[in-house]
Amino acid sequence: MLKARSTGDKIFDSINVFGMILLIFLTLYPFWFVLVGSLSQGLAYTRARGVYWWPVQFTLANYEVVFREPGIVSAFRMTIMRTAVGTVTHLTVTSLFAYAFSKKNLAGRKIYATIGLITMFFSGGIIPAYLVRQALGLLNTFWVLIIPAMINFWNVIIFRAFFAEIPDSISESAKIDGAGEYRIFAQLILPLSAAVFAAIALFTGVWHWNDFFQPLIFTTSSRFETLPLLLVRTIRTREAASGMATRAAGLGIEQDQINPLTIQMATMIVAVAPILLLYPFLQRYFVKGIMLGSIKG
Amino acid sequence: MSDAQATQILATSRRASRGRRFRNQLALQTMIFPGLLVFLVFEYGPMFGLQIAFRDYSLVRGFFEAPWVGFRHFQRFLIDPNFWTVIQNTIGINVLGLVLGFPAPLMFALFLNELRNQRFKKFTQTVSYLPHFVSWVVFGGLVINLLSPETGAVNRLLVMIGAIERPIFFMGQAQYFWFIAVLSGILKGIGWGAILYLAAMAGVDPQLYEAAIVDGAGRFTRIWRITLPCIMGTTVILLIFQIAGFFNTGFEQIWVLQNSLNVSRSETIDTYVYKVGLQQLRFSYATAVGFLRSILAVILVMGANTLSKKITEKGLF
Amino acid sequence: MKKLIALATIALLLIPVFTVTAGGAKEKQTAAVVREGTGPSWTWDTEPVTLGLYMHEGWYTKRWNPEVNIRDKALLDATGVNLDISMPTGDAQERLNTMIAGRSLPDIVILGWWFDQVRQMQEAGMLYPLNELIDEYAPDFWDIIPQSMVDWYTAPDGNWYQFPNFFWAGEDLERYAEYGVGFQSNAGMFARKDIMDALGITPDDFKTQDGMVNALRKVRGYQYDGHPVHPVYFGPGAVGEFLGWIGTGFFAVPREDADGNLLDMRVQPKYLELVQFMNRIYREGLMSDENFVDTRQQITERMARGEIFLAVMNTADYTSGMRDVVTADPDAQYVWVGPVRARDNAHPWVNSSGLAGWQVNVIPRTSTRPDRAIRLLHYLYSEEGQLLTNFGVEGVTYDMVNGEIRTTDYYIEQGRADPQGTSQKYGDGGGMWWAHNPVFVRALQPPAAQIGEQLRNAIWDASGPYVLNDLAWNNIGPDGGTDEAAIAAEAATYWTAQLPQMVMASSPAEVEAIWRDSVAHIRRLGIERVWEVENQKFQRNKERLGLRYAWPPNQERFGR
Repeated sequence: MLKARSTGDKIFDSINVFGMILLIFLTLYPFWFVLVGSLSQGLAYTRARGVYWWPVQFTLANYEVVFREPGIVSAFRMTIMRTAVGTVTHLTVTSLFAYAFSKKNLAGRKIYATIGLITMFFSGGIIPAYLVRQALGLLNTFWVLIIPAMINFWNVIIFRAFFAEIPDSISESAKIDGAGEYRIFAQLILPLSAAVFAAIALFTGVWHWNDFFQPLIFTTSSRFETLPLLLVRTIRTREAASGMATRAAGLGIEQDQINPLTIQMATMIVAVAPILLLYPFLQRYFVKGIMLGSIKG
Repeated sequence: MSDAQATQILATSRRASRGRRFRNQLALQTMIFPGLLVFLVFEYGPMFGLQIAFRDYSLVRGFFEAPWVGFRHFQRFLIDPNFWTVIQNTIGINVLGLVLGFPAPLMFALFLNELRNQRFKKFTQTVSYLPHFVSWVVFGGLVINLLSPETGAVNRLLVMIGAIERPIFFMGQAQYFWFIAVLSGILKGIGWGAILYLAAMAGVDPQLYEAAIVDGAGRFTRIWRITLPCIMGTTVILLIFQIAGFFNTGFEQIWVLQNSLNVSRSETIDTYVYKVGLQQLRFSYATAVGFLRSILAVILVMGANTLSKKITEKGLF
Repeated sequence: MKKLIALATIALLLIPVFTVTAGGAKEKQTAAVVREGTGPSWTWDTEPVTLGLYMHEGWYTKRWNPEVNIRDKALLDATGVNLDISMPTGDAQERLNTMIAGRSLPDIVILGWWFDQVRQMQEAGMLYPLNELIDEYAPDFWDIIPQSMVDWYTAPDGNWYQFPNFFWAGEDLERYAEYGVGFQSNAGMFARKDIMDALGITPDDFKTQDGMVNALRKVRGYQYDGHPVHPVYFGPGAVGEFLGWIGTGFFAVPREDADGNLLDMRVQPKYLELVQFMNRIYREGLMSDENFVDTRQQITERMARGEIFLAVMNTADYTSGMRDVVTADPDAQYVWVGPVRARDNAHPWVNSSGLAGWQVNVIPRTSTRPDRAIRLLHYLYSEEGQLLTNFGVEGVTYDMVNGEIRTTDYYIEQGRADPQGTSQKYGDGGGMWWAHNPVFVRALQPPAAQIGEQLRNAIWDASGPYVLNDLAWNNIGPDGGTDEAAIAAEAATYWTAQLPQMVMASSPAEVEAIWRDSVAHIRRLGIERVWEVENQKFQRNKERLGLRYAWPPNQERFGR
């Protein structure tokens, strides 16, 4: 690989790097903007004409407010559990389905395809979904957050596309050696598809982490309150509470000096940080996938 | 034996042996089963709700007691004087999204893949995800800030480099809205949208590149001849997914960016049905519009899939 | 294909199973009435029980925590009730809708009276009549319920289902007359006193259209804190509030015709005058383009930075803006001005801040303990309950001095040292306004401590003389799900989009042209059908209130 780079190559690389730096700036900036706000004193932030680069009157008070929100610890625990269990079960159920589905000679393949495709476009709506979960006694359980989300056909299609790229010869030869489908899947297919597993894991994990709609509709006990639900609530409250309540009442609700916006930003950072810290681990799988990918062929 | 005959014979034997095949494939079929069950219970179970598109449902009436009204809710939407505006905006934003929004993550992934420094590559990739985690409420607020004629950085920059003389009121002039929606969507989603392309690129055999280098192929030739064909399957799937969403616009994004001055260009099916349907508890109406959208999406996706299979020999499955 | 059919059949077969079991009724375990002693009903049975309470406000955060919060603890001690509080998030109505559809409502549901879900639940027999519950479980509750509340909230079927929060009872206004509690409005028109003084502007200048425009012209180019000041700012989106309910009130756009029929303000000539006035302000460059896109948050920030001279907006929403600017500069105080009037100089009539209350408490039939739920309401509405939920625990957070509430020094000090912790331990934790009685609370409440609140209260008080008794116009919208509701929503959506065009038009003639087109358009949509429905409800409301005319100018001319 150690070949002298041509001039064209060098120009290409410089432009590419320059473009990427620009993109880093553009995508990093919104996040930086939020971080700066979260570390600013509320009143000063409001009165400043745009806080873009550096916090005004640096403070951790906004984070203090977020972390003292009652229930945040249990919400954290709940969210981690949901994300872990939800991601693992989704990957298992969806990838197994997709693997079987990737076999061209699978009996009933067309029927499965039709069943899956319809789910991509039609849904009965939120109230019927509630009634079904109610009838099954799933409301107010942990599993209502997990079971219905164990598969979706979009991800089946993506998994299948990656599985289809793996040459049949690999599984054929394993079959001759007497390996069953489950073993072929676990020992041959899985390692070769690490990259797509990591990608879908990231999608699913982030979805489970961020979603507040499911616990909102299908659970009522605060036991199942997840982090995003709690945080969305914190944000909305700070925005609206004083105004709305006093609008109707003229009742002086206790007001604190903290700006809703800076708290909202701290809230967002708290919600995102764990995922960002977890992310490097997932990325390592990408690299592994590249290595494993090089073995095949 | 002609092809037609062969197909016929194959089909007959296939039907006859399907039962046997099923028994031989027990292991594979058990892999299907859990997912299938979830589909049937949690996707098909609630589908009885779709029939309220043809009924006059209310919360307390029940799904099977509400009176049938035929296609009245469909009609109501189709003859609405706002219908064409709403359709025009939905299609406009999506066409622009297809032309500008779809290639963006693909290009990003291709160029990212060409970076030599692995650390820089990883860093860029990670940073590019960040906007995905910022909610639309805050992201939209930032976009509005940046575009403000008084204090916005974009206007200041444009004035500074002499591109415009006076600041432009981007959020207040409806003609900019489609671009603002699509471009802010690209900025927010470019990194996230590249994940699958990068996963697909991870599977490309490095020997192919080395061989190409030996043959003296340049950068663009390698991208064109090796990388792109290797990720064609993924690209086609994501393109078809994009087409599947042709009659949807992200509700939250549009809602945040919408205001009374740009509403003529920002009212889409999503926001309109929310305003005149769901907020008024008109579930039947909202379901009818959703139904209509789903049918159009199915037609589009089937068409795209068939076309793609003809051209690239790749499709959804 | 056969298999597909088979599978579809299975799916279809499952449907009845789901729906049948979905409606399964719960066992009712109402305890027999135990009357011990002569105390009020909530003391009769204080065996610990948990009641589910659902508050239909996305931003509500009250959590039940009697271990920490002294108010929760006192409520528990008094009634034996633990609350399991739940709420939706944001604008999401789905939570309530699914609970209604699934017949799985908790013991008490609290929601705004204007939500159509209340009517639907009521008509479907999903709610307990409160009158029956009170007769059976808390007869002494009747002693403290104002008759005007029962009259206003009694349903067409003769039963009473909804217990309001923040109901302004005429009986209470009389009883507490000596405290000077009066009606207020959130229709706000307030300007910076320091700038008025500097430029020689007086509050009365704003009472005419020409006077207001002249005053605003003086402000053009004025700098505060090194930055230009906007002469006038309207509420979010500029047009919504002013052309919706604030300006229409100031201009006294008629709401009832000489025959007592309801009028749609949008199609009245005086409405055109109002839009033309706003257009004049716009054409003179006295308002900012950005006003049309700014949200409440952004307007609050502008106010806090001192960028707004005259604010014409919902008073309650901008308390923090007023507070922040005056905190930084004690001279930067907002005071009530005007209000601006129509050319005929008619007396302004603005909406009240909600005479019929804000939310209503209903007790669904699915409640397992309606007896305890109604007694809880009894406790909450009693003086004892009102004192607890609004002022806390006597001796800890407040003292009674000569029949007036004084916040204790201890509570104030704690609050200064650790606002959040104090709020969690001693405060109402984000809202205990269940069964709130605004007249009682205002009569007793100590004067506001913060300057921002003081300014806001003064502005509220100044709105008093213009407050319209607007009960007759409450809840007249068409029922949800009807064609009329659809037309009303389509017309409103269309109208909202037209308003900026009118305001930004290049001449008064153009304003009129757009307005005429828009009126024609909503007529084509069938708005007259909406008027018919609304008028029926309006007449029914007046009947209930014993009025022939509800619009003050009509009352003056033809009598009540």
